[in-house]
Amino acid sequence: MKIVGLAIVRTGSDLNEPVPLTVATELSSFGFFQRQSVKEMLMFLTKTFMKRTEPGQRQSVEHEGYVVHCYVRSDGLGGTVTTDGEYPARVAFVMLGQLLDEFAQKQGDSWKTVTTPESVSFPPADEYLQKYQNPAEADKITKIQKDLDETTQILHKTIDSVLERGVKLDNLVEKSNDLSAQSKLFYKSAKKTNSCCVVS
Amino acid sequence: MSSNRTHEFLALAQSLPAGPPPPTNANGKKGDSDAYQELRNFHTTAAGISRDIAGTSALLSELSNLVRQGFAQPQDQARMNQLVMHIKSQIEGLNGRLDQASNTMQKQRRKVGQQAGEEAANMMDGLKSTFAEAASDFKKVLQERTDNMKEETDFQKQVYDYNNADDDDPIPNMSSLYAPPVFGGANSNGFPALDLTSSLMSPADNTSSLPRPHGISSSYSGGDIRQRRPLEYNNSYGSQNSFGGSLYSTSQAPLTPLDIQRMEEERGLQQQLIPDQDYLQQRADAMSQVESNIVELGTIFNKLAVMVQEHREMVQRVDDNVQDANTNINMSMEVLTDTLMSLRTNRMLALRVFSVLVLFIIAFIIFFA
Repeated sequence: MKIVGLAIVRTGSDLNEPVPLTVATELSSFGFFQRQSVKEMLMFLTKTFMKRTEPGQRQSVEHEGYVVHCYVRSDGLGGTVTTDGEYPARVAFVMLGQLLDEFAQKQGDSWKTVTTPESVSFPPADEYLQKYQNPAEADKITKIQKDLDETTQILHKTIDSVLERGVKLDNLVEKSNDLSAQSKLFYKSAKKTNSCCVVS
Repeated sequence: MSSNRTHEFLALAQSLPAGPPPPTNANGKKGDSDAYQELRNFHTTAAGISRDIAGTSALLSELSNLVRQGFAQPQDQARMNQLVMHIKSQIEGLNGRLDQASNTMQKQRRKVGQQAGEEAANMMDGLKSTFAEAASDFKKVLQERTDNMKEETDFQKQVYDYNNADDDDPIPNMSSLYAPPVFGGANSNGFPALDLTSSLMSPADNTSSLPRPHGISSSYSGGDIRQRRPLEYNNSYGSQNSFGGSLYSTSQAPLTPLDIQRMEEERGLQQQLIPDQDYLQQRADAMSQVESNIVELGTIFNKLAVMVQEHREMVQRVDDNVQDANTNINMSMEVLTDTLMSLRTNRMLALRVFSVLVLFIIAFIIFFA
């Protein structure tokens, strides 16, 4: 599962089209000549879906095998993440939330007046894109879930080995039982056979 | 000398004070008479409670007779519902009073003498056990009843067309049963059943307070008794919901197409109110899955601990056996070394004895030769 593109967009009722402020893409899976057209399609999808998304709402729209997760905050700042079908929506939204928070923090209010597309440079966007390529690493819940699964597996193996240990201990008990019985017999027979010659 | 002294006895009895004589106690504390007064009150309340338990049992027997008749007539149904409500309210009241009585008994127990306290405690236990029996019988009767009604509705479903069953209303007076919260919970048929004794058997609570009877319910999967409203709430021993309060608390699981439609409308409304429903739902699901995983891990650890604990016993046995074997072998070694020692030394003796014998033989030969 991978993320193909990421865009921070400014929406508002005063604009007839949402303005993308920052865009980051990861198009290495496409052929060199396709990349430009793919990027244009991403931008087009972003703008279209952003226009349709209300402030304070999250949406996930599927298009040609790729899913676009859109989120618009209440103050008009929004973002889209384009991923393939397997990527969990929840992680995408968490990522968007964090990214938008950081963006708003860094940029202050300056983004509210921007009208030229892709004019704001925000390097953390690229970082986020790379980091979230593997949702298990970046999203805490996914990480915890993975750790838990591992731990459960390990525990199952442990229980199996403890059961084996139980069986072996059982064997040991039996054998030691036999040993003690045998040694007792040995003692008795030794005493008996040697008692007759001691006197004389 | 024996004469009829009955009239003397009667005169004496009348001359005695009306109430019981004031108690003479070894402590001689001032509050003793109050304690005995309270004890008397306690006994009267206990008597009242036992009388009510008897009354409830009588009603319960009537109800069970009605239920056992099988397919019941409408007027029997009405009577059964009435009985059920009556019994339920009585059980509630009895529960509260038993609790109160046991609390007061605990308080008084210290003040009153030991024997009276023990007697009171025994009586409380007796009352509680009879009450528990009555409650469990009630539960059984209810279950029988729900089974009967299920058979009835299945039968009628075959007879009537399913679409018309909504109009025909096979069980007319069930609609009046929204109030009785007795039907809370589902057994394997998918029908509600009240589990009154789930907590009565709880081993933890025996002296402090009477375990509250309350019901367990799980989600109700589609049914055709639409008027039933199974009530759902958490069965937590710690919370000790009172009988009446908790059963009125929540309601769930709509049953008719009308209800399903209403629920979908609500859901649509929810979607307007909370536009992030899916996302939040996903988060909630993820968290609950994590939680269940952790709980599972906890149980696995517990099992592990139990298993290792069992092994401890086995290891001890092995140790004992090996110890015994060691001791035995040591002792036998001692015996053998003794034999060896004695053999070594005895050889000299044997040699000498043998030489003496040989001398004797030679002497004999020389003597006879």
